[in-house]
Amino acid sequence: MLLLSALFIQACGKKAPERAFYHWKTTLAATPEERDYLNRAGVTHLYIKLLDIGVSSASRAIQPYALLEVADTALLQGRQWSACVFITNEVFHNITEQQIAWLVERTAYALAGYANRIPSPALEWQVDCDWTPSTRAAFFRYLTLLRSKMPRSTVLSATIRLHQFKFPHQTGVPPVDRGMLMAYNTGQIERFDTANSIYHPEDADVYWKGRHKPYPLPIDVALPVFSWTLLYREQALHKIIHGVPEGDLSDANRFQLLDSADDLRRFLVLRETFLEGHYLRPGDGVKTEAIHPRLLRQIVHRAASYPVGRVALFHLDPDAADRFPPALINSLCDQFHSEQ
Amino acid sequence: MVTAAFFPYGPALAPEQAFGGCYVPSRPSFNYAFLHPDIVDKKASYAPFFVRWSDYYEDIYFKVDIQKRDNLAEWKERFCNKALDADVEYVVYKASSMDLYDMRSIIGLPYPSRNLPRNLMGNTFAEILVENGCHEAIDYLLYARDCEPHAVHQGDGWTLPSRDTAAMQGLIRKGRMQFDQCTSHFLKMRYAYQMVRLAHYAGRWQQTVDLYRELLPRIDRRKPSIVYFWTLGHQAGALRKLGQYAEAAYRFALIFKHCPSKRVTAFNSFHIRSDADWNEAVRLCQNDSEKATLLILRSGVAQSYTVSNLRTLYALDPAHPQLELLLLSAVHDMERIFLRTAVTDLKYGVNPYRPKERTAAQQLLDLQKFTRDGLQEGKVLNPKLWAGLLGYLELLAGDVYDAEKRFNTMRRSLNPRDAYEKALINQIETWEVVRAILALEAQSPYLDDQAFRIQGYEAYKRDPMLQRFLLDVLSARYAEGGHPGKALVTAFGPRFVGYNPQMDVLDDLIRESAQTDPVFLEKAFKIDTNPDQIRAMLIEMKGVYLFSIGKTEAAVVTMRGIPNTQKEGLPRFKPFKEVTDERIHRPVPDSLLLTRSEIFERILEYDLRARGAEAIQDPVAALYYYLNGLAHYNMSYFGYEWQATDYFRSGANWERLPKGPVFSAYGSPAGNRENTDVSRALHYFEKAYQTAQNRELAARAAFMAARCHQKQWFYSKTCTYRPGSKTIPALPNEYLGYYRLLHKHFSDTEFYGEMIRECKWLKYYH
Repeated sequence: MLLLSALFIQACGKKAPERAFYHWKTTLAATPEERDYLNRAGVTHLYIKLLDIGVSSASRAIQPYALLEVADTALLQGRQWSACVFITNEVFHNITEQQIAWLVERTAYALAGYANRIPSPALEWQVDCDWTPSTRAAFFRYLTLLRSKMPRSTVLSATIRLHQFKFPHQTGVPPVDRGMLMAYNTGQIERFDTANSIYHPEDADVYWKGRHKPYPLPIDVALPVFSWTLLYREQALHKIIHGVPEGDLSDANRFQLLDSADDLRRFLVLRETFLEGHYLRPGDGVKTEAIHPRLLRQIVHRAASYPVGRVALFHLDPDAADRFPPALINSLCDQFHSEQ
Repeated sequence: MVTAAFFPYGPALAPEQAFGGCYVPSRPSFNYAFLHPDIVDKKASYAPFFVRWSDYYEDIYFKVDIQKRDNLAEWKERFCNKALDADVEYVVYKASSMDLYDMRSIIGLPYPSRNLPRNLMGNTFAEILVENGCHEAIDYLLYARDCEPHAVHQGDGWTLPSRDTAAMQGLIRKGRMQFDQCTSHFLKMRYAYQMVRLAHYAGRWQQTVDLYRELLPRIDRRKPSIVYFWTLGHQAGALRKLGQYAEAAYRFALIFKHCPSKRVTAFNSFHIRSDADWNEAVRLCQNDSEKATLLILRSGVAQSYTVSNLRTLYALDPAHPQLELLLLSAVHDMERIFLRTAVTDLKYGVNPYRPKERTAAQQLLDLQKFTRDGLQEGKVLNPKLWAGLLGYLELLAGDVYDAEKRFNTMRRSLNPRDAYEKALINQIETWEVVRAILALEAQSPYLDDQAFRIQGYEAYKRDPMLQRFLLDVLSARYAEGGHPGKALVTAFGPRFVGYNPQMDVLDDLIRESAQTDPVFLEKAFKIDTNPDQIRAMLIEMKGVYLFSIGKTEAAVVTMRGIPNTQKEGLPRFKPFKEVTDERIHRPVPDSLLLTRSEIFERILEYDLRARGAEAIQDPVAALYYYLNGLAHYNMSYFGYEWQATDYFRSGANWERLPKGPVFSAYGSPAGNRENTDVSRALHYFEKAYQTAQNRELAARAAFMAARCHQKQWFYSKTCTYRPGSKTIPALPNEYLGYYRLLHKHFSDTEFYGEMIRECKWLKYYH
C-alpha cells in the first residue's frame, strides 16, 4: 500500500502539494488504524497542536491550556511535523509590549519543552489566531518577536482566514514565512436555521472570486474534513459539541428530526437528555454539520487556483477517517494537483 | 462571513471545562442585576456555584484554604483541642522532616534530655505529641512530607508535569506497611488518603480504585472525617478515567454535598455522559436528598435553572437548602431579560442569548407560579426570601402594584435588628428603587423631579448599578416623550451630540437651554455657572450641521441666535488659505481668524460678490469663487481646518471612506459623520476655472478641482484604492479630467512648475 502511495505521489509530479493532516486532540497516541489510514492516504506531514493560550475568565491572566499529552509518537514515524499553537484573539486585546515579550518567551519555552517528548524536531511553528484589526499590531509584534526565539532553520507560519487572503493590504500580512489558508468557517454559525456553517459556498465565493494578485506569502491550504454538533437554546447558539457518534441522535423519543441534507441535519430535543456529556433541555435545537465529499471537491476546485505547498486536512479523527477513506483523499489531492 | 479559527471557539480553553472543547465563549454583554448576595445565607457555601455574583464569593470561599482549615480543626480536636491553632499548623504543614525526625527521636527520653528541636521550642502541639508519646502521628507526618512533592502541582503550566512514578509506587508500598502497623484510625484514614492520592496522580486509575476498596473497609469511620471525602474524590476521579461515569458522578455529588473543602473540585468534575449514566447515578442514590443533590449539580453545571428542574427538586425535598439557590439563579435569569430597555441594547449591545419575548414571558409566569405555590404550601426553608423573590418577579412582570403591596407587607414583618432580616430589608429597598424607576412616566411633566427624587434614596446611593439603570430608563422615557436630545445626553453624555449631529436632538437641547432653569443641561454639560455658554455651543453646533448639509443661509440665520455675551469666546479658524499638500495637522499662518458664523457669512458674501462680478465679467469673480472653494475644501474631512465644521474626526476612516459618510464610532449611538463631501468645493473651483481671466489662477483652480475629483473617487463605492497606501492611486478616467487639463493647457505656468516639484505623483496623472 505504501508503494502504491509512493507511486501515486510520483505520478503527480514534482509540484504536487505535500499531504498533511492536523492533529487537534489533547493526547498524541496512535492507533494502528490511524497509522494505516495516514499511510494509505500518503500523508507525509502532521500539524500537531501542542497547546492553547487564552485568558482566564477568573483572573484575566494569559495562561496555557490543554497542553498536548504525548503517549507515543508512532504517528510521526516517516513523517515530519509542525508545532501548532492556538491563541485566542482576546489575548492580544490591550496587551502591553512587556506582556508580548513575556508571552513570546513563554511560548518558546512551552514548545521547547516538547523536545524531550517528541524526538524529531518540528520543521515549522504555526500560530493560529483569529486576529482582528484591533489586535493586528500586537499579534504581528508577537510573531516578529517569536521568530527571534525560534531555531534558525524552523519555519514560522500563521493561519490566514479567507477575508485576510482576499484583502491582504487592508487586513495586513503577518510577518511570517508561510501562511496556512483556512478554506472553511465561512457560514453563519449563530443561527439554527441557516445552512452549513463549516463551508457555505456563496459566502466563500465572495472571497475566492475576483482576486487576481498573488498573496504576499507562500501559501498552504487547510481543508475541512471535520464535523460537529451545534446546540441552540432559546434561539441562540449555546454550545459546540464535538465527537457525537452518528447514531446518538437517532433515538426518535428524544430527538425529532426536522430536516436532513447531505451534510446537515436539524433536530428538536423532545425531552431532557444528555448528549456526549452535555445536558439538553426540551425545546433545544441540535444541528449536525459535516462536509460532504462533493462540497469538498468544490473547495478543492477553488483553492487549486492558487499555488500551494501543502494541502492539510483538518482534522484527524475516526469520523473523518470513516467519511474520507484514503482513496477519496488520494482522489481529492489528485484533483488539487491536476487543477493547479 | 468568515467566522473563526480551526475550531472557532478554541478547544479546552475554559478552566471550568473539565472536558474542554465544547463551549461558546462568553461575549461581552451587560445585564442589570439587583439581587444582593447577602440574601443568601453565607453559610450556604453552595451559593457560589449557582448564584454568580462576580467576585463576591471569591473572598468568602475561594480565597480561603478551606481544606487546610478543616484539616487543622480535625488535628486539633483529635488532641483534645489543647494546642494553639498556629502551633498545630506549624507542625502539620510547616515543620521540616528533620525537625519531625528530631521530635520523634526524643519521645520516651527522660525529661532533661527531652528537648524539642529549636524550631519547635514552645510549640504547644509538638509538646503534646512528645509528652504523649505520639510516635504514630509523627511517623505519619514524616510520611506525608515524603508524599507531598509528588502530589503538588508540577511545572508552571507551560510545560507538562513530570512525575516520578517509581518513587510514588515505593511510597505506596511504604504507606501500606505503616498503615498495617498503625493503630489509630484517625491516622489510618490519612495513610489511605495519601496512598490513593499517589496512585491517582501516578495515573494508575485501577490501582487507585483497588487501593480505596482495599483500605477503606479496614478503617473505623464512626467518627466522620473530611479526609474520607478527599479520598473519595480521588477514587471518583479514577473511576471517571476508567469510564465509570455514573459511579464517579454519584461520588462527586456526595463530596459536593458533604465536603466544602472539595466542593469546587466536585462541581468541576461532575460529568454525566449519557441518559444511561444519569439513570445509573440516580439509582445509586440512597435517599431523596442525594437525588436532590444530583439534580442540583446537573442544573448548576449546565447553568440550566428551569422551572421543571425546580419542581422536580421541590418534589424530592421542598426544604432543601439548595432549592432557594436554584430559585435565585432562575430569578437572576429573569431580571437579566426583563430589566433591559432599548437604550440598554443600544449602549451595551443586544444580548445574543436573549430568548424571544414570548418564551421569556412564559418562563416568568411559570416561575411566578412555582414560587407562589411553594409559599402557599408552607414547606420551604426560608419563606421570607421566597416572598421577597415573588414580589420581585411580580415587579419584573409589570405588576407594580402587587409588588409594592408585597414589599410593604414584608417590611412590616422583618426585624431590622436581626442581621439576616436586615439584609432582606436592604434588598427590598433596592427593589423599591427599581420599582420607582420603572414607574417613571414619559409624559409626566414632573419626570425630571421624580428622577431627582429617586437620586435621593439611600438605596439608590448604595448601588451604582441603580444609577446606571436610572439613566437608561430615564433616557428611554425622554425618547418616548419626544425629547430625543435629552434622551441622547442622558444615556451617552453630551460628548456624542456632535459626532453625527441630528436636527431633532439639537432642537430639543436648544429648547431645553431656553428654560429659565436649565438644570438638566448644566448637569449634563458640567457647566453650572453660565447657561448662555451651553446655549451658544448648541446653536453653533446646529449652525455647523446646517452648513455641512449645504444650508449656509440657514446656518447664518441660526447662529444669529448665539447670545452676544458669548460671541467673543467662540473658537476661531482660518479656512481661506491656499494649501496644496495633503497634510491635515499643520500650522497655517494667516492673520484672518474668524468664528464659524463669520466664516459662513463671509462665504455668502464672497458668493454674492463673485456672482455680481461674473455678471459684468470682472476678473475678480474667479478669485472669490476660488476663495470659497478653498474654504469648503479646507473645512472638509480632507482639509487642515476640518474642526470648523466637524466636532469629531477619525483618521482611521481614511481606510474605509467608501463606507461613509457616517461611520461606526465606539460609544456613539449614531456613529460619526465625516464631512467627506467635496462637491461644493468642486463647484466653486470649477466656477473659478470658468471665470478666470488669468492663467495662473485658472491653473490653481484646475489643480484644486482635480484634488476634489481625486477625493470623490476615494469615497466612491467603486474605489479599490485605500488611502494611506504607499502606492500612487490610479484614478479612473472619469476622475482624471482636471489633471489632464492641467498637464495639457497649463504646463507652462509658474504654478504648474511648483506643483510638479512638490507633488511627485502629479506627473503620473496624464
